[in-house]
Amino acid sequence: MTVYNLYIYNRAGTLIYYQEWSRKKPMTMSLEEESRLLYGMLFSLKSFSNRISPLDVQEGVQCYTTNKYKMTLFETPTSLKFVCNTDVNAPGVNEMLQKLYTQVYVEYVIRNPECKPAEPITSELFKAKLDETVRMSPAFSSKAA
Amino acid sequence: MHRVLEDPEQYPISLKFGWPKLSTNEKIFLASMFYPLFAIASQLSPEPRSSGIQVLETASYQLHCFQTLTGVKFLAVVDPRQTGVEALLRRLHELYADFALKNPFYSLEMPIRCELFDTHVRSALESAEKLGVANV
Repeated sequence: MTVYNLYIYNRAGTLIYYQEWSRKKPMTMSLEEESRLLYGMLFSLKSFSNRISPLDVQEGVQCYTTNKYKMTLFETPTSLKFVCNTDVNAPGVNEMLQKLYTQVYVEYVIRNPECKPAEPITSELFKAKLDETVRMSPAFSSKAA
Repeated sequence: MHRVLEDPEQYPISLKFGWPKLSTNEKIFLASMFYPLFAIASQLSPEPRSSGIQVLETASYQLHCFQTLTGVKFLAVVDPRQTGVEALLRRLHELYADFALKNPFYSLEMPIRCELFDTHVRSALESAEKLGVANV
């Protein structure tokens, strides 16, 4: 039960943070290309989901599952997106992402006078805190095969 | 519609809420939109040899996708509490093989217009709804 990787996008769609813990498949394209592909897919997925939804409630995609991984999306009201790939059975990923937003992002990025809103996050303290929060969450136990 | 509600002679009225039925074009459009998303999900996987999207979850519905070995996809939009959708999709695949593919008048890739297929699909859906588990 592990977390594979995590992407954070700002409201313009640029990747402001990426971290990976375990990735079996080597990257077939550069990180920038992959992040743009993922963002484009999320955008299309959101609009597809709004069209096909049987009720009028427009809550947005929460997660999707394939046979090998599960992708969870947490979007804040300010259009900041946290995207996390975990294995299929990982519990509580949504809560983990919410915690990451409130306890790590808000504390160490928003309240950091040196972090500009649209730029990639370079703060070491943020990286350390994010890593710690992810490792402590129930979605991340010992690395499984 | 307000006039109908205010007029006491019309009571009792039964109101049924549902979403406006999608036109056939819209359905084709949405299905075509889903196809590349399914493929991209398999490409973006951090694990080797992942399939495409099997379950897409939101707060109000779940979309299940079953892809056969020939690339035909069966999509089902269900309530999040519904169980047994995988079995239902497999049952639909069986019905497709029986009533569409074995029908000599059916041409591949065209919309399926076969009454027997429709009846059997409807009864499979009803039994899935009643039991929560597809009764195959």
